[in-house]
Amino acid sequence: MKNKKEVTKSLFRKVDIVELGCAYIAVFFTETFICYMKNLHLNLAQREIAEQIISHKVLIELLLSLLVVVFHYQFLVRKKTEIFCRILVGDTMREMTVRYLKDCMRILGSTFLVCVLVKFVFMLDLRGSYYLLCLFMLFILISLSQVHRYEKF
Amino acid sequence: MSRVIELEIKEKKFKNESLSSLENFKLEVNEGEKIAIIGESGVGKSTLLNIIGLLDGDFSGEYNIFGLSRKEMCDKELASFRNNKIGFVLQESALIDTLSIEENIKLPLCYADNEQKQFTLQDFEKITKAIRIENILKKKPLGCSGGERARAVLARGLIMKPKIILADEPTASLDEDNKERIVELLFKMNKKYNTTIITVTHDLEVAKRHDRIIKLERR
Amino acid sequence: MKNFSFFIKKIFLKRWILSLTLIFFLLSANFLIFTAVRSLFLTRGGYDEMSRLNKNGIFVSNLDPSSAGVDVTSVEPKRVNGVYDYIDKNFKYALHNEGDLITIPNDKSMDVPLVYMNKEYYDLNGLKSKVGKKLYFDYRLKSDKIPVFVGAGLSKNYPIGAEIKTEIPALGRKVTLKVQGILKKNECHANYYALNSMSYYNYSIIIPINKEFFMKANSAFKVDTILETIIINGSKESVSNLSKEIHDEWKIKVNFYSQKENNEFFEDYYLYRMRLIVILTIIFLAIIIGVSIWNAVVCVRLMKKDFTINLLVGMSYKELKKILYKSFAIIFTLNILVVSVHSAMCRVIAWKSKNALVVSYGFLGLASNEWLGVLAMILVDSLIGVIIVECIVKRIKKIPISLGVMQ
Repeated sequence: MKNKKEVTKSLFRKVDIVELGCAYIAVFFTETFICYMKNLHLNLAQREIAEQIISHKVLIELLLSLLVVVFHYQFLVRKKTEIFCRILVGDTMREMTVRYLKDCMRILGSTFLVCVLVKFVFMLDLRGSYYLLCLFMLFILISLSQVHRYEKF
Repeated sequence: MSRVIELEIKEKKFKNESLSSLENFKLEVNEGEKIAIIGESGVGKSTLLNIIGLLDGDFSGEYNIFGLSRKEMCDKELASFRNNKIGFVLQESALIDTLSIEENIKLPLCYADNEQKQFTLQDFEKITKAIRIENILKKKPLGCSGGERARAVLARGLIMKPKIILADEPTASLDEDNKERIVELLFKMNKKYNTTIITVTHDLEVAKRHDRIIKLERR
Repeated sequence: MKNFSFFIKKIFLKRWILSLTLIFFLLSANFLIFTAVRSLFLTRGGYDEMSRLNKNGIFVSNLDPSSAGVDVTSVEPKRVNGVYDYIDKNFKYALHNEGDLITIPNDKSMDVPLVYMNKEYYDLNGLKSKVGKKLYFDYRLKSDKIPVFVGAGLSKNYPIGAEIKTEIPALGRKVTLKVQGILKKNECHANYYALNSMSYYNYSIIIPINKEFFMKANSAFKVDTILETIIINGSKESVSNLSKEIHDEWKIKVNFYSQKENNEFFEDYYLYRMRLIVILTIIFLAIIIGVSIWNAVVCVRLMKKDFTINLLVGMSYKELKKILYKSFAIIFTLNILVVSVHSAMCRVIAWKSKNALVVSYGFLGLASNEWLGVLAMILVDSLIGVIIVECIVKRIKKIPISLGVMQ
């Protein structure tokens, strides 16, 4: 049986998974909510304000996606010592980078799936979520290059 | 006595500049030998240790470790070597803040095969007892004293019972008591398991207790 | 100052991604506050203006949605006067029409909107000239020059007493307008049923209309004007008859809303809208503050070492707090400047687009409601600043000042 206390190879701790998951959810669900607003039967005042929000959709999403940028940046800076320690005890930079990619994709994938499910239930347009998925994948790919920066202590 | 390290560096560049101290540098180390590397700051001591520890392969020359050429080893083989043949003992800061002392010490086990893992886990208690850190295992590094952290780093370096221990300033910033304890433990390992020890240090007293002292100088 | 610049260079700029993100979040908070306050005050202004009409007997006409987009030129000319005669015979009424543009020389080369109004509308609206005499309506179209008010922007080219010979689209012929008074800067009025938008009169000419003027105007003008009539002494029954008369004559459905109905509409729409703006602004602000605090905490997490070094070499927590407050004061000042400059630029763009009903004057580029927005930004920024700085300092105080942290 696997020891519960056993250290994993992943750079992610529970708190990191929760933080990144929350950041993704914040953006995905804001996008979903804005899509949902378009289909709501609103009164005149609500519709006017909803239109204001809808017209600023891209800006709101970009602003919120800064949360994800901040997460990746601070995560890798914080993991500087850990990356070096893991290399010392037998990890390789390539494997660590692939593991980081997989972990990020797993969190992104699961939040995306939840979002798609919600959109499916409410019959909403999926395009916005796909754009965000691409944007976040791009962030992950950019952050991959940063893992190497911390190879040496 | 078998030769564990045969290193010949023709040129090593550091930040695009050639390190004169490591130009045409040769080092041969036998099993169980204790070597101290001294020299002024910035002369290339830690760079040399990184090369020996298979962390840095960016140099022109030849390096054979346990009869195997570094050039012929892939990344995975290098990592496997670092995992079970080399133990790194660095300064007390080389611990992961978010993991407990126990998790830090057991970190090399993540990368070991199952058989070795079982074998090593049996020794875990012995090592922590010998190093006298059994009461801080659940603590996080920031909650420990400098001496405790240094001993934890040592324990991590020893847990896989490596053939070579590379120690980079293991006693820096430690008081006399803790310094003595660390050096004693390293030498005990050497005596008991015939482990090769290479120590980078500024402390001449510590250096003198090794079999050989190599002084790196700018040329 | 030395401490401060060291702090900015070594700590703030060292983690520029975090600093920049924090600045973006705070900037968005400022934009939100500014827009919300401006929108609230515009709506409030329109609401106040409209409340002047909410008196017993006043009914404001409103084109029924089923007749929206109707072509006013499709009404037969002989059927137009019938409705007007009916209104003139049975009611006291306020007439108002704007939308015609004329081209006369002026310093900004703008097309000048003409705003027509009868005496009742003029009295109801409280339009006053800053300089000059009162507007009078008992002129003779044939022999007299038409007395007019001009907007503040036209005062240089057309001072009091100046005459403007121009063709008026409503009459379809040349007349002479005589400047009787100059309106004060930013004189405006809210668009009925769209109280959060204003029409500015800075480059407009106010033309008084009397019965003679109205009778000689073209049919399209008459229909258009009648569709925006305000009945001053009506009753539910009489305006219902008028509505029926208009429908019978023109096949256009017009509703007349009373004070009570208008109040209900405003309660339902504008007051609700204002409440909604306030609630949403508070929710968005809470989210932005939360995210900014997270960002600041992340910053502390990454810069434990830098803070510890500074505290070890003699910086006190009090001094650190002072420096943080200074840094945030600078960020907020820059943000307020960005928002203000953006708003001023929008005003400049409006001037450049030469849309006379949109151009307005401002002190240092900002109108009075925008200055209220700036004041709100200062107040809310101060609050956000205190919350974030106190959170940062609380977090820093938790870091043990030891060699271990630095290593």
